[in-house]
Amino acid sequence: MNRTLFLKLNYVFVLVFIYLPIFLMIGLSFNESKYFNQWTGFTLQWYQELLQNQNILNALYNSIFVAVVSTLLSILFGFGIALYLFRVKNRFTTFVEKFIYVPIVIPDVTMAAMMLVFFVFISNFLEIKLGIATTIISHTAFNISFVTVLIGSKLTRKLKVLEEVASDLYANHFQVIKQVTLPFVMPALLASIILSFVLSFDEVVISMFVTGPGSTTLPVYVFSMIKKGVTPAVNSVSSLMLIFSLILVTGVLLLSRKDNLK
Amino acid sequence: MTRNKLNNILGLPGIIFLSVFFFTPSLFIFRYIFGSRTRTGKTSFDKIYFDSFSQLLDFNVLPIINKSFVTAFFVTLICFIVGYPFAYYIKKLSTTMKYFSLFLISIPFLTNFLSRTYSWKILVSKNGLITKYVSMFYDVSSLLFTDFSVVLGMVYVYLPFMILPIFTSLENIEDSLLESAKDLYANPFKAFYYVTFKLSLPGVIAGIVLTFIPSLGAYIIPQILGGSKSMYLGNFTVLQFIQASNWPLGSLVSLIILLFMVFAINLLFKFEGQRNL
Repeated sequence: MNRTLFLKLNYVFVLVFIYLPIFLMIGLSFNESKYFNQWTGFTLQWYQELLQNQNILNALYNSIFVAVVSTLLSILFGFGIALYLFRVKNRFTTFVEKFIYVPIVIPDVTMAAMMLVFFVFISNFLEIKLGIATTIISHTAFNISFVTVLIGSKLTRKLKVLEEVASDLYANHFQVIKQVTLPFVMPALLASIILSFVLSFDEVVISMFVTGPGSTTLPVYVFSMIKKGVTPAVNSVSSLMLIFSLILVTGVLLLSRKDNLK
Repeated sequence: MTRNKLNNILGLPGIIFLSVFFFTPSLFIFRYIFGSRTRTGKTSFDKIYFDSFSQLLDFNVLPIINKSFVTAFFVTLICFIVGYPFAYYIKKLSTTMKYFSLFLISIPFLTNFLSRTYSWKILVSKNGLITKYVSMFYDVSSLLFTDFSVVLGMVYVYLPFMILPIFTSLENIEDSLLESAKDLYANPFKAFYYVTFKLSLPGVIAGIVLTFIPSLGAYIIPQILGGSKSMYLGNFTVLQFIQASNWPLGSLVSLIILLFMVFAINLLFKFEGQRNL
């Protein structure tokens, strides 16, 4: 077979392979029929039912709350660590620079297990229950690293020079951060805000381990629905989750592209 | 306050947070491995136990490790066979099309993992599109809850992890190298093998590690597409924690997954190091 033709076919095949299931699922979520193998007409009925499902609304509320708080915390902590690693060089920071990758690459099952045993163990001594707080702490624990790495990649020599110029012009420490550092890292900062929100909002395994009754997040709830089977309710709620993260991720990609072009 | 002190204080809160809520929990895993499950499902720590190690054999964990490895191997292989030509093709596209294709591949890289796995469940369940097609050749009513659908589901989710690093390394190869190969009378196949393929090896290895590792410890995909009966390392671990309340064994298996990962990443760095020599 012609080589270029093969490459082209493979290209089309991969894109169809990746996008067909997604579009099929979104399409089915508007299908009037309860059965997914026949199309009987367009309806918004399943989405309306979602809005009346109190369990899903509660889970959605929990998810948003967890994602917002853990994003705020991870930006605060992660940005701080990134600046610290950028400005201070010693043996300790070299260690931190390597260690910061561990929460990113650790398998989610392993992280879930260690957070669970930790929280349960300390609950023998402290008044702590599995719930929203433990979920926020666990999400923050892996999001900090993403923020540090993402912002850290933008803290380059160029910024160092700009900061030195500002100090030479008698800007004090806070003026340097406010007028030089912050504007310089703004795109990366925005990207990491969206990314940590998405990572927290989509997280399943860790949340499943450290959450308690009444504080279930949306993906954990949807996961339990999915295990039961293919239903119109799952079609619509997964479509919504997918579209939501799709929009946010597109934002991140556009931001980083704009940033690279600069 | 001196500038230096201020810089130190900037990193302090985050580092303290990670020490307490990431580093310390990782130490607890080691303590739990040497605990013992009591009859009530709680873990006892009154002395050092080795129950979890003997249970590794009693509970037939080795075949599960084996199955996870075989699955991860096939997933990685398929991803490579499909992903390499894909990356090779988009490298040659015009700039706009190249970035658009990269964009299309990066989107699923980060979007909701659960929904994407579920969308695949629709295709392989009874009367699903793929099931219908396959049933024309084989006698099957549903592909759901088979190893076949687990492998396909993993390929579906992890394919971008293979394509992106390969593309990056292909993109860094200078065209002049291929031209010199041609000038030196290398035939297209030889030129491809000795120049393109060899220079793209770091990306290939990164892609292999990035697909192999998550497939090895996967939990969600086997659970949704493989059903509760088919056991992989990831769902075996979760089972020990959630249903069997055997935390020492669960801790040990989760540590084993981590060790495999550390080993693979070291391998990756070793190859990277060789390239830089």
